[in-house]
Amino acid sequence: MGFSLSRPEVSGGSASQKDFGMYPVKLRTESVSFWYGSNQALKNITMAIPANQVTALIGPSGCGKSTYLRLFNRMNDLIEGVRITGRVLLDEQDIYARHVDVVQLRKRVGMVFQKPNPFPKSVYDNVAYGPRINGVRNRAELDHIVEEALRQAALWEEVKDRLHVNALELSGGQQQRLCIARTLAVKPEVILMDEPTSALDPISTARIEELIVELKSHYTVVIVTHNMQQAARISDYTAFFYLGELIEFGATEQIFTAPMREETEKYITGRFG
Amino acid sequence: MATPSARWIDRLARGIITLGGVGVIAAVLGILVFIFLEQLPLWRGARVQSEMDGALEGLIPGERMLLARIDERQRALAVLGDRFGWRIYDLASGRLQDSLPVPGMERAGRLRAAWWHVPSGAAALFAEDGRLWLGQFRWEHPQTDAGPVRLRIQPDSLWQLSDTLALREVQYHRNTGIWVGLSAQGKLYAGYPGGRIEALLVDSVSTYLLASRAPVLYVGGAEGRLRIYRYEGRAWQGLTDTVLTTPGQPNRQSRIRSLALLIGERSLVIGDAEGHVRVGFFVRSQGGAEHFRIAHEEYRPLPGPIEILQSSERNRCFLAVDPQGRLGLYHATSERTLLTLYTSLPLSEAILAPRGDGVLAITADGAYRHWRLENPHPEVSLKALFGKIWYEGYEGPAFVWQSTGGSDDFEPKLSLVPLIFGTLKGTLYALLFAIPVALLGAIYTAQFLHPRWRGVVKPMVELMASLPSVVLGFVAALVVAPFLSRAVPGVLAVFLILPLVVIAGALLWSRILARYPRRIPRHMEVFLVFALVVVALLVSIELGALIERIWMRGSFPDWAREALGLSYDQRNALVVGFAMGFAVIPLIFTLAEDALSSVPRSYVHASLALGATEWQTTLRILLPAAGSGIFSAIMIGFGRAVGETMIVLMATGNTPILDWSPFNGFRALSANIAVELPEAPYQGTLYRVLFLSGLLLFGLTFLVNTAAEVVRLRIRRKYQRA
Repeated sequence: MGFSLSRPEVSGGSASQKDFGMYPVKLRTESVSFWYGSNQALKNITMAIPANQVTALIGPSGCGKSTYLRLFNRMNDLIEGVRITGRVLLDEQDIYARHVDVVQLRKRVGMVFQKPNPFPKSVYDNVAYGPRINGVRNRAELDHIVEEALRQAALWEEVKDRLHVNALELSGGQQQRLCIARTLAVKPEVILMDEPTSALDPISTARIEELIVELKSHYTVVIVTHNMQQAARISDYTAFFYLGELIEFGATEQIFTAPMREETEKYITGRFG
Repeated sequence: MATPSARWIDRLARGIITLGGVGVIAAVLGILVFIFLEQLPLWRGARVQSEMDGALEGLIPGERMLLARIDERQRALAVLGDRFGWRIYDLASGRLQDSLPVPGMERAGRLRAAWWHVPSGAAALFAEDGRLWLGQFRWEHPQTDAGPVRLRIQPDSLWQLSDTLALREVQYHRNTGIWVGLSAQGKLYAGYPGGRIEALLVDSVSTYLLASRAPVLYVGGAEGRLRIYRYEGRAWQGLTDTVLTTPGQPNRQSRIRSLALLIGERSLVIGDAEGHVRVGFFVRSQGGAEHFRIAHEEYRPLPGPIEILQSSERNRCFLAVDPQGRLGLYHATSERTLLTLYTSLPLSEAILAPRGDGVLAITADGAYRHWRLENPHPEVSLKALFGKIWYEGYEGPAFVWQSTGGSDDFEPKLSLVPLIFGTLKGTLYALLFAIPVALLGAIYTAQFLHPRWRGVVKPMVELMASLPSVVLGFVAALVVAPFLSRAVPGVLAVFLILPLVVIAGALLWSRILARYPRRIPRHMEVFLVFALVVVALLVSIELGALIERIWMRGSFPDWAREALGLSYDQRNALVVGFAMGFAVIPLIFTLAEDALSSVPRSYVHASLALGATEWQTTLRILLPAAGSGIFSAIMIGFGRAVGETMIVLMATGNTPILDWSPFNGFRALSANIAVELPEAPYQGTLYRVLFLSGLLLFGLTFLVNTAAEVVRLRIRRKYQRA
């Protein structure tokens, strides 16, 4: 299924076998295809993502990179009429198996969305939301988790005196870092980011990028981005998607300096997209 | 660049839209202003419309005026002097129109006493030669307004009393033919048909009154002593012997100076030497015994003794007069002091016009002052509408709505409290049923229901709203009410069993799903819920029937009456709760569902991505974010229930009682307007009180809607960035 004449022999297949050196494979897909109704969005993707590294998914709009990202926390399930084949593995466990509890999965695989979407609650309540639904009631413990998450998200110094103002009063960049802190507070293993800086100004973007680089020592980060400089700046590995197919996957340096595929080169040099 | 014609069309459209908007606002305001103006006269009180002074011509020097009365149109004044018979004056000019001697009293010398009870016409005259004339005087009005007003005199009998019996006052009970007179020595004598005269053994009489309907004699004495007798079985039976104390001073009594009976002759007005007036009547206690009770004494006192008391023939107004020329106009029910009038004249007689809309004061030498009053709504006061009033014959003060009765002397009871209570009671029961159903339905539809069904459910519920409420009321009254009266325990059991069954079913279903693969597609799961609801309903009804059979001997209404002391009306608040709830559910459901659906999906996604379950997301994110919308949905539902008319009209017994029991009926403000407006005389008190209740309804819904809007905006501001 999803067979395409242009499917490269080297890219997907070899990437899945790729040795990430000291980093074990955290996420893996095996021949995953995905349909929205009758419209196929992903075609037979096989790929592995290393732990504690930043992996960027790039490609033109509609190439399926966001759909691919959302496979890992099963957010695609919320859409009616979708269908998936193949296997998606987290730590070599199939996350689409019947016994898998989606709620537990999402606690392990956090997500940051394109537009900052803090809850209409206070800064504190936003960050404490995840721990609270997990049953943390102890005030001191919550305080500790909130502070830690906000420090990790490099937001603590800016909001420590404003913990109880409405999160919607923060600036856009602060809101996005708050969303990151909110995700961190659940202590996930993987953080999925869907174009997290596309709605932000350059200064806020720079801060988030710094943050993403810092986060990889504790988390596996997968980021979808439109911005090729961003991918080049912050990611360790880059996957290029085009028309629902994985065209090329490799170390970021290699992709940006010596792409193996012509489409990749055309895209990163800005000749289409 | 817009072309000139496009600009013209723009301008025209803007004009038409503005006109439409302004028109709508103007229409609403116009209705409000109209309602407000219609009820406004209720609060205006009594006012002097015109004041006129005059002098009567043709009085003989030294003649004493014994009686003076005016006719109900306030055109003629009849004066009875002690030297001659009646003289009729034109009130506007003071000119003598007619003079007519009383037949049978020719050459009887000076009259000593005269008495005329205008409503019944009974009259008694006593002359110095011992002649006692008993008969009837009646006003005769011409067919047209222009003709002269006449007095018709009809003698019944003539007595010749002995010289020793010099009467100072005499009164006559026409039905029995009994007269009661007060002698110069202060003793009461009674005469009976057939010529028997006896002295009544009553001492210290300061004033007395013989009723015209039942032969009842009221005797006022010194130190507040009031005795009441009834002529029964050829003897005067004492009904009451009581001592009235000065209002506010329990240890002080004062001499009773005057007595009068209000229209209907059940309420007695008592005036004392210190200027206090009070109203009392007989109250039947539970044992059946009657006790005389003073019900009203909160009237503003006059500074001097109350020498004259006169009651209106049309309503419950009465006039009290002290000899210094101060006149107080009061209303018994509303406990209002309507008006106080002053003259500096030494009054010999003061007259309240029969309709209560005029007062005439006359001095001994024939000078008079005539006030025409505007007094259209004396029975209305803030207390009469919203406070507890002690109505004639009631055991104590109460909130009662009973606007009309079978007779002219009926005392209208216009407390709006039972109606406001009824409105709130109906609304409460409707919302008690509607809010949980509508909100849970909205949450289920917005968050859990498969989208394929959402597109069906919402329009169908909205279709429910288009059901005319008259149909709902009709169904409620003719189908639901009879069914309910047969299955109360079952219907009540539904509220307990339905949630239990659904929760148990949900738990079971999640267990089954965890163990076995899903066989039923997600969008068909809603039919499982349906099945559960049907099962729960059947189980509840059967269980209720079983309980009714075993513990309630087969009839809940009978059991409730005997065991709980609750009366059961077939058309009751429970029926209205269901029917009106049914009318309100679509409103609350639609608005709440809109509010829930319009919460940004990004919140929901963020919450789910954090590992929250759908329930946690609903409770912690969706409901708080949609809170303002849900609140306004409930408030708009409240407003609808408050104003709903047809359902409460048809599905309750419209009994204006104060009782929270779900098994009793009630009468709502809106239904009351519908019931009573057709029979309310145009611009009468009831008519205006109904407009007032309309204004109240408007105010209530306006208040609720405004509060809803304010709270909604405040909550929304909290959740949205300005």
